[in-house]
Amino acid sequence: MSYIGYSLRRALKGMAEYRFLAGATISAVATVLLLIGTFAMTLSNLSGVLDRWGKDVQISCYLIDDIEDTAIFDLKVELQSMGEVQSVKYVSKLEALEQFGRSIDGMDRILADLDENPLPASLEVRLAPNYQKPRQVADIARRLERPEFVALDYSHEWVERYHTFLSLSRLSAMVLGTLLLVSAVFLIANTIRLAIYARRAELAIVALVGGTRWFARLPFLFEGALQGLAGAIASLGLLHLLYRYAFLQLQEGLGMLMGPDELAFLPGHILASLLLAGIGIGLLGAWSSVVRDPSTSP
Amino acid sequence: MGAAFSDEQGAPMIRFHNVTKHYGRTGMALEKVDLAFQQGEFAFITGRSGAGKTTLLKLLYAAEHPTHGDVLLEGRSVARLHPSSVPWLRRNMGIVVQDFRLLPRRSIFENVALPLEVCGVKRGELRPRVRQALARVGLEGMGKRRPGELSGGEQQRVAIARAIVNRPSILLADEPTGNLDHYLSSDIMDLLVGICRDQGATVLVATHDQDQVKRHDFREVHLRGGRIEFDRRSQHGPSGNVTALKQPGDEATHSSPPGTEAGDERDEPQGQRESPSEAQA
Repeated sequence: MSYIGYSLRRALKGMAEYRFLAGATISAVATVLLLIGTFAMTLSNLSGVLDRWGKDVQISCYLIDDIEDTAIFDLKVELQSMGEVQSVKYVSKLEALEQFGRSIDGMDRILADLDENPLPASLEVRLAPNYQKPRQVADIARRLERPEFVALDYSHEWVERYHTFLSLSRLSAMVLGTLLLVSAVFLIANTIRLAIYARRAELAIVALVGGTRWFARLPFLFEGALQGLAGAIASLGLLHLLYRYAFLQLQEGLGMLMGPDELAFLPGHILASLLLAGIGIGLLGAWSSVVRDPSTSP
Repeated sequence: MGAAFSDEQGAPMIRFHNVTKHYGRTGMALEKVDLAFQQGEFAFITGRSGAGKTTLLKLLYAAEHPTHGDVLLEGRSVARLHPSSVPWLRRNMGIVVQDFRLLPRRSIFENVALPLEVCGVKRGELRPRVRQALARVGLEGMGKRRPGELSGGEQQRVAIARAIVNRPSILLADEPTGNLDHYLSSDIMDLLVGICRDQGATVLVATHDQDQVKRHDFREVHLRGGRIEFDRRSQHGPSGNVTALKQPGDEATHSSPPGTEAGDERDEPQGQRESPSEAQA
């Protein structure tokens, strides 16, 4: 324990002695983690939007024209008995025409001129909460297919495109995030290398009085970890400011699109991951420098 | 006479057995050196710059390794020590060098405490031991100062306090008075002699300061071009053991005016001397 206490004290004193260097590294780590955190916050909210839109997903099963009422009733009961289905609503040809007429200004007048109602009757199937993901919707739609239906429509294209866009964004964020993390590791490694260089004489004395390589290395590892942690804490503070003063402002502008729910700050497990990432890149950077430096290997 | 000497005195504390050290292909630092030092012995290693004095000490604390031969400490090979064991070897030694090697940003207390912190000594035990070491070198009450606030002589005292705080059985001093004037040099040398006497430590002092060598009648191993030119024993006893001698600071056995040129090779060594062949036997 006295080794750890000594190393921690030396790490803090080392950072205080070379505060400009430590400040530069902490800022760099904070910037990298702020960028990663911003990606994460954006993606987690976009994903939330997709989930909310998913709740509105319903499958319209258009019925053939000459179907009898009893057959419609039987179909409705059959579909309702499926676990994936939350509710089934019958929309007659007339109701469909009225809804379509209301959807666009002036359309009702155009429709009134028609001799015959071209719209089919339909069963509007709303899915249970656990079955609203785009891929599940496509699967369920296939299982709903019956001879009595002329067509099934579940607006799958835009949902799937949105889902693909989100997946690509996640992948890009991961690639970019990894590159940023690697650059942060190099930054910390260089800072620690400079710190080792600045304290070369001290390390020679430590070796002279019988200090082990771990006694020489531990303060630098603590220094790296502390700089990483400080950078992570700074990035979380900046992320919160970004959330309050940019994300929430943005939401006011995009209120219609985003829906009624407020944009969320990062969830706890992501915050913890950012803190751990800070400590991790600090340790990794410091480690890569101390193992390569002969003055920490007496 | 190393082997014969050890037979008379028991197993030596330190033994150089046919040690040769080359730097690169042509740089010969030591050649076929045979030496033995007893526990509690005080000895000067003398010779001009480049004679091999520093190399001899470095071989002892494993900062260098012999090209041929072996260095034994209490019968165990230093040369064959695994690098990870070197710190443990050095914890049993005090090392003092010419340029003091103090940490300028740390207090005197912290500088002296370093060897104890390296050993994981708890803070409660550390404080009295550091105070005791500072008192031993006459620097009590100066623990809060920084090295830059002290004179050269005081800085060397701090370095000695750091070297003895762990109560080592061996104290190696490489030109400990090289940066000091004659009077300060005498103080420092008397301090080293006192430590040898009080703690029973084996003290080897590499120096080219003949004034100091003449002031004290201790064994002198004189190197020239990496070979032992002579190994002069103390007149007070076969081992040059300080406990058999008078107190440090007493009138020196050999007096020499201050300002004698350091590193002078003497044509006729004083006292009881051995021929190089005897010394290497």
